[in-house]
Amino acid sequence: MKNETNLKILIAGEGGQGVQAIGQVVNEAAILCDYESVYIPNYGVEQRGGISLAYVQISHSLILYPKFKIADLLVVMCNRAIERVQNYYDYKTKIINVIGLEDKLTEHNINYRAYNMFVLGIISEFLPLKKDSLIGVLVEKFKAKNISASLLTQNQQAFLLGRAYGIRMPHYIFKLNPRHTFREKKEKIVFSDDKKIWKIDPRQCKSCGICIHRCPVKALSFNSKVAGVYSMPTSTCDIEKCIACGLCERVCPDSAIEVKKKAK
Amino acid sequence: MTPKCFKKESQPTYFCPGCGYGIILKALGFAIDKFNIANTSVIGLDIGCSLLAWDLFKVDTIQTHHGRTTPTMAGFKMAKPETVVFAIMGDGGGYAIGLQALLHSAHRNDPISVILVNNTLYAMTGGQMAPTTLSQEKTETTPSGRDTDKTGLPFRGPEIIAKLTNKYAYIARASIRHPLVVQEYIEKAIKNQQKGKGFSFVEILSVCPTNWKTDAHSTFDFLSKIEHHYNMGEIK
Repeated sequence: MKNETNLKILIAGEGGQGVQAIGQVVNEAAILCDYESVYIPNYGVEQRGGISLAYVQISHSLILYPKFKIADLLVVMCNRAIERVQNYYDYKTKIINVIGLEDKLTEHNINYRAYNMFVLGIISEFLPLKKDSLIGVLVEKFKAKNISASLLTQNQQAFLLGRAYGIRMPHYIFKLNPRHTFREKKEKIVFSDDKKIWKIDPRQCKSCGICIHRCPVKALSFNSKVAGVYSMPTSTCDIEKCIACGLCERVCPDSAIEVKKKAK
Repeated sequence: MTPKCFKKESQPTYFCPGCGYGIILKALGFAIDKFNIANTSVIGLDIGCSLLAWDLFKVDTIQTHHGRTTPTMAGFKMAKPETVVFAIMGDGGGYAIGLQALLHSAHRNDPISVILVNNTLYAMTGGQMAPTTLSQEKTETTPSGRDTDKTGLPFRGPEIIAKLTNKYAYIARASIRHPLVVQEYIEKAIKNQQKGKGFSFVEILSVCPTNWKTDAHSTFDFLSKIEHHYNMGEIK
């Protein structure tokens, strides 16, 4: 007879970060491992960009209600989510703070969109599930969505990277300070040379990528390490290639970009 | 670069990343700046994604019942003829639930400017089929592609409205691929309204990356399909 477990997991992050995908993978893997498991998403009318919560419960006995008051394991993926989860933890809760670890992926040349699988790798240590079952569910989920093979391998790499990172450095667990304030990039990022000046405002940029698509000389890219409105990288400008045509400024839906030619 | 008539404190907007409304409302903002009519104009917003612009402008804004933006703004114009009124709506509000209001307003030649944003589906409710959905396009309610034998052909609004209106009407269709053209057409619609004789109608082909489930490159690929299906330019 196995030990009685009833693990309540709450994952909180920005909508679009892949919060619900983590919940789904954990839930399906738990069912494959002969657990009772329930997963329920919680978000507002925003399809992207609100705070998104995923409630997952793993248990040996029957689960009667999908939501819960206090989580055993709380994963926080973005700063805005901290306020939202204030009522879901007490002194027994293990809190895992994975805010701002996107750099770890870009260091290994993995697409930042695989960030949620990196987070899944980190929390996999705390789950009573086998690594293989999680990866199996992940692969099946991606195959069902017809996603390219390269993205699938990147997601697998991100998962393994997260797992290694989680085992090596256990100091990311901490108590959330209720008055926790985050460092906000308050000024515009400026790229300039003697002829032109290109500015982007991270408080406005939603990382939609339209400027990168529309740039006629391919001077723009997502290489920045500064996060925009929805915790995604903002675009950067290769100022040597830029011809200051102003098309990016014109098409930016959120008025984040400013281009100017300097007067001679 | 932000239009002067935008509120700074309501930035960033509520729209999804990559939403076409950002580009369209910027064009409208620049047009309002150019004619300097921020104090004398009124914007009517429909239910749908357009209502997320309720606090965006330093302009009086009304949010109406679903599809009833056109008659509300026509009524406002009758009561206060010196104002410039805009009715902003989506393709669901204009061509489905609000079609009779739109057609009768065009038939009466109400001197109002209607801006209709066409992204081929109902975006706020999660991407269901709209009258403008292209043939074989996949949406939430047509998972194997739209069957035009059963559900009819994609709805061409400006062409139909052009046949109802008199010679003073201004009717055009633009795409957000060319923001300056969008702005030019909106400016012409404002000028036409200020003359006070005919109905002005601008349909703008827009994008919805959230419901099309596309990234920036494939969004614009799909937009070029839509542009290919609907004829662009000034119709009347």
